Amino acid sequence: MKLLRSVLVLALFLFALDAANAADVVNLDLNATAREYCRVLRFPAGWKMPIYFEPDGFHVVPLSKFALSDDFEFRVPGLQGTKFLVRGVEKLSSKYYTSNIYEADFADPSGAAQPVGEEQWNSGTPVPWHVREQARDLLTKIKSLGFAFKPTGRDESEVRLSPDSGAIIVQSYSGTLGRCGGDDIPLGVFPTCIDIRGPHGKLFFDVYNTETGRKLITLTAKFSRIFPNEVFSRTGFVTERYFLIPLDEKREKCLICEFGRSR
Amino acid sequence: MLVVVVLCACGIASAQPVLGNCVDNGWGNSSMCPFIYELNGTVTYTLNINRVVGPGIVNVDVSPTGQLLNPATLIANGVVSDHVVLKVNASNLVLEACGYIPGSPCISDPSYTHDVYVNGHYEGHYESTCATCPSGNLDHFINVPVADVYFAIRNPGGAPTPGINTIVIVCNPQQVHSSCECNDGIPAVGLEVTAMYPIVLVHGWNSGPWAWGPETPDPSGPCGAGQLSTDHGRTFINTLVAAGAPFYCSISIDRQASTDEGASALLVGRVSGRKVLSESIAQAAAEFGSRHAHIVTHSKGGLFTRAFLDENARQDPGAQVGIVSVTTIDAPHHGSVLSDVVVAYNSGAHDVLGLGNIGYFFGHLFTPTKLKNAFGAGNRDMTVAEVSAFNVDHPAPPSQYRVSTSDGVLTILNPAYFSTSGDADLDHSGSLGIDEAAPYLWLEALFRWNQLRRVSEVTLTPDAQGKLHATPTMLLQANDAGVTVQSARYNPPGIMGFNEIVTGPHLANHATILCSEVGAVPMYCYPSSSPMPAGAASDVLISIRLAELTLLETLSPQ
Repeated sequence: MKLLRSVLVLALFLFALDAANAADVVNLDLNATAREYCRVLRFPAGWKMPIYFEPDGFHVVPLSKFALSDDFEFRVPGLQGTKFLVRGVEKLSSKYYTSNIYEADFADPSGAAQPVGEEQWNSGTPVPWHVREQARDLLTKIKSLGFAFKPTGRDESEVRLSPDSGAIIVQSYSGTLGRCGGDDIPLGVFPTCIDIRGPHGKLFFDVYNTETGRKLITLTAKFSRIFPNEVFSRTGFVTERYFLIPLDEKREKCLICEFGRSR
Repeated sequence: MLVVVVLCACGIASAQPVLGNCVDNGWGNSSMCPFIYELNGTVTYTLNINRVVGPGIVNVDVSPTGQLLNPATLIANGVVSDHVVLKVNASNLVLEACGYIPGSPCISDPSYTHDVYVNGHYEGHYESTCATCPSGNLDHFINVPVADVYFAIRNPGGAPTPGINTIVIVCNPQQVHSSCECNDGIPAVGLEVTAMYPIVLVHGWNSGPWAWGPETPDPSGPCGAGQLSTDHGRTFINTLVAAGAPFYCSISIDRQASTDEGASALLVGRVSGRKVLSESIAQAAAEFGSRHAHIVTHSKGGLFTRAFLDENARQDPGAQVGIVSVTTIDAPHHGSVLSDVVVAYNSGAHDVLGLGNIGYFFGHLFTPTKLKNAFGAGNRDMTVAEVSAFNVDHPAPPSQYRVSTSDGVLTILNPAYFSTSGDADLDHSGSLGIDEAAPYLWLEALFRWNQLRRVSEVTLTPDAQGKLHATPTMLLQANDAGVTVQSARYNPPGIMGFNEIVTGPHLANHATILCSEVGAVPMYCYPSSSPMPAGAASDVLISIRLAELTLLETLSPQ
């Protein structure tokens, strides 16, 4: 009986741990000020990666499930406005697209993207996705603006400059990267530490107007069991107008903010 | 083969003279004799050296003025030549002595000496004679001990502070011929030295600068301390530190970066709003005042670098880095079977782990972030299939680089490419034991129960319900618990120059950058073409390895 009870307690403990591990990794504080600029965009049915076969027609191309580290591609249906076609893509030696495609109205307060078909995707016009430019040039450009674009967080990450140079987003975080840190390839005979909670803390996105140096807003989000750079490295601009921040590891939610010069 | 690196070429602006107690004799504006002084004259040059020699950290490697603190060590390890050649170009001297008319007979045969001082040290003298008037060698060369010279001081994150050298040339009036004044025209002086180009270290997947170990000159930087409780790169770094080699270990690439993203970071760097998060290779070299670099990589850093090399070679010569050599340590040049397993698992084929699923379960519970990172996105383009496709796009590294210099575009032909690998199965048992692979327990389970050592590739096939199943190809391949020896060999056809493949047993696993590659413990990093001497001490081999780098360094002038 005692043994059974011990097993049950252990099972409950493990279940609790597992449940804790399954929580969202980025929790955004979407307060009133943030809502002035941003809205959450959802992809209700998530993303599905179809099976792609190797040229031999027998073996399957090994593709991971669609995740944070994957990319989106954007197209516009007709004239460029607030509506965009969005599709997931895994970029390897070839591009592998998700089977589902959405149309998202970035101005729609409901934030729910609608599924569309391959035909609409094919008729759409691709729009660029801006992530980074020459680091030194960027730093020079930033310094030439003459403002101290201070980060809220203790540690800085890569900065994003809107394509029209009208806004700059300083990405930073405060918190811990976990007790274990370092490489995750084999290290020692026994784990040198147990780190159930993992990295946690707060992410900050300080948005500045580059002409005035004035801070427009600071977006804040809690992060947990994810390294901040995993999020920061996946932010970027869609056209010159919209800034995108992924909010979960499956990329089913993201934040769309309008920070461009036209704002 | 030896071509010296010209630190400060003759005739450049930084070598303009300041006249001492000499008197301009009125010919100072002559196009042939711009700088002339007379009896008892001295001329003082201030000559800046912008290159860092060795690590260049002030008060550790160099004095605040740039004087090398441990020159003997640097010389012994081939980091710098034992002397610097001071070149004095005195062409106008002879012309003047000969009455300004080249080829004309000498009015007389004056012979007199000039004493030369560098930073207050007497370095010798040179003689001038009119006999060399028509076509003689008009340059004078004086060997100056390297300890007397001030080199640039490294400022981590910025440009080096030049070493300011004062060169005084004193005319010796006692030997002046009566019909020929001790006047002189010295358009310029220059210093030439052979010095090792900086070695830029590029870490691999799921890693960072700390992979190279915190035991750097400054424990709180520049490789970053504190990330690892165990320091597996320390032997490697210690080797470089002990040798006094100029190295840069602060390159920082996203842990799960794709090969292209890693190459982009190496090409353009990464920047925050106020500071550089990671320098580009060009900037890392510039921190040492150089446009050239050796690159040493670990694991996926080899793929980042190979992609970078092609991009670099496509740049305008004004932006290109002169890559002198690349050494890849345990790089998955033909993919990683570990990544095959990870990607197969992430595709849904959980059977690929077999009993290793138990290890996965416990890893998921107690070190979830670590497990997630170990199974992270950086694996996706490291599979055998993906790297095979990468190799089609990048069949061979560039055979030349072109770098703009003050003397025009310099072409570096036949840069050297080395690759090293390791086999952790020291007892040849056919599997990796705890003492060999030394993984975490859950990874140990994964390795053992899955017999990863025997896997060379994993393929996926769907069943009738569309569920994926993994089929490992079982081949006995030596590996270091991450990359097989075969995969780490990089020997594409058509590469000119050095292309030695260095293989041998490791005393530890993939995460341990012992050198076997460059340092530490019994060494097996001999070029395959060279026999390893019995009982060779590690420091002997270290010096050989560095000597190779030095030799490569001297292939091209800066």
